[in-house]
Amino acid sequence: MSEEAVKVTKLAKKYLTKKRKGLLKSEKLVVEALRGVSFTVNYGEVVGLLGPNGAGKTTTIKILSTLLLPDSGEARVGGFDVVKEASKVRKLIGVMLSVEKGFYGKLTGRENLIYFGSLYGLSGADLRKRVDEVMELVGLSELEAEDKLYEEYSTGMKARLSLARALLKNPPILLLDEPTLGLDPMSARKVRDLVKSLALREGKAVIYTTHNMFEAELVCDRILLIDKGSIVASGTPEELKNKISDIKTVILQVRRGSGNLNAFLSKLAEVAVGGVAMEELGVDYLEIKFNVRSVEESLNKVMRLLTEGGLTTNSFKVVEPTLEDVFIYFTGGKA
Amino acid sequence: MNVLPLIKSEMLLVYGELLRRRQALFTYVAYPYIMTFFIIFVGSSVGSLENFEVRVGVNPFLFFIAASFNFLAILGIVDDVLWSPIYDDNIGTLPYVLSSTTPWFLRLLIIPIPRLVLTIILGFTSLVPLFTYFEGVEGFLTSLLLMGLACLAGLLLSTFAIFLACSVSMLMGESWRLLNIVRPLMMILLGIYYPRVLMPFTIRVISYLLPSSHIVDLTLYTLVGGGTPEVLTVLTMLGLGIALAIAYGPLSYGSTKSLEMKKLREGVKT
Repeated sequence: MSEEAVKVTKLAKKYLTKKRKGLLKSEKLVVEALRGVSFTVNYGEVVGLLGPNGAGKTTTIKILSTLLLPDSGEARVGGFDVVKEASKVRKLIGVMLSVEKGFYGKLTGRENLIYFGSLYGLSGADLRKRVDEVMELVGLSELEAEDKLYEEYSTGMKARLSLARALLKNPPILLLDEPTLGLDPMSARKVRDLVKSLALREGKAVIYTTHNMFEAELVCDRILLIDKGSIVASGTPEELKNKISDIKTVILQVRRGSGNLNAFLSKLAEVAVGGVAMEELGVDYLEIKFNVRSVEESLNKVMRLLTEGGLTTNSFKVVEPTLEDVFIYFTGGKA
Repeated sequence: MNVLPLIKSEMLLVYGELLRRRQALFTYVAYPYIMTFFIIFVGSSVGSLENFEVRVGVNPFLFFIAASFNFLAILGIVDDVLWSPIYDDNIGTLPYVLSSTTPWFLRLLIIPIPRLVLTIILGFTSLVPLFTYFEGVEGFLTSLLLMGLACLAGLLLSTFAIFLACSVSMLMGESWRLLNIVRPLMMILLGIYYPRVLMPFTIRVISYLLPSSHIVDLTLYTLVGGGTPEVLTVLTMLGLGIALAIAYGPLSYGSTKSLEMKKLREGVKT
């Protein structure tokens, strides 16, 4: 088995959608979901695909799962081409595409896994043993949920069952699309810990899409920031933060009505890198958050603007950027 | 590929989706009786039961219970095939079915087999009691023969059902709307309630193209003929039914592959 579990080269995909224009007319729209994306994932590594809605994360996962044909480029999973050798790819992957859907409601968790296990080519005692193992692994046995009907499952249980199905054939490559979406903190932690340990202990390659910066930092060895179908930045969480190391985040607390706030904000926009975020802090104060590049020079300007505007400040902090700041910096602040 | 585990797992679905829904099962079992009594009630208002027996040559209760059983047995076997692409799409299981190592066509082909259990349940709750009550041991044996024919009729319709379900899904987005029209039409064309010999010529030609219509015809011969039909007739009808079911095989395989490709081009809904 090669070290590279997944190799994606210049992958592109366009969708044709229709926009209704009145009762009978509709206009065809072309949406570029992926614009020449390239990356690799090694065995034993968790790679996070991080990006705003519509960035191309799910499209990438679908192509790698052999559920969508790319327009151009190449994607190889376990050394096999996802288009020409789809049946070989399917033997190597475990897929989790949705937390809340994808099972038969009138079957129990165990029966659902037996059903999908047989579709994956497992049978008899081996299948039953493996079903017990994965239910134990994802914590469904602990919750005594194996023989409960799927329609009676909580969202957390559904997510665990979905992960159990992805692990059923013990695949070397896992493709997980937002596996903790809508989960309570305990279930989300369980999923994260499990994914991390599968990569560490069993050497599985994992592609993990998420919106959650905190989660990406905890789980992923490497992160690919994707926006408008292109990878805009990649690296370990630390490397990504270093990419904007010359940028610092300034957090100000300003007393309401203490001066000309509008004039201050309009002049502040010239100093700040990116946008200025403002949040109410109780009745008396406003919190203003913005990024600056050369700190000393910028801070002098900000202090001067505060004095000119006659604003009273309660607190003035300069902090290191978080992964969230990196995300906002590269994607232009879209969530 | 070993198909036995696949059949067993489909059996789980039959058990879960049908036998666990007690009300649905009760309706299913009650349906042949409801239809029989309804038709006989309406029929009695314009004619008499004796007149029906003289003209058609069979007890009306037995005729309509057999027809209703046949209708529901065939529907029970092929219905899940007809709805499978839409159902899997809606509940989100389709991506996992398509990304599995089992070809989609094989899975569709296997769906009807465990549904035979329903036909047998239905046979023992509708055909067997009535036929045994009216005709004793001979009636019991006839009911077993009719159950066998209904199972065969359902199975022989599966390749056509796959072809129909996948073609309709390919042609239009909300394919269930068209299926809701096509499904009852198909049941009429099978000649269950309305014998094929009475159909207009063009409709009869379409009916001849349905593999199970020949088995339904054989059922009618068994019921109305007042005895065993000739061997040549039996063989011809069985042969026609089986040959047509086989002939639809490549078409159903092609339509499944085309639908799969369409789904892969557009992206399977998750």
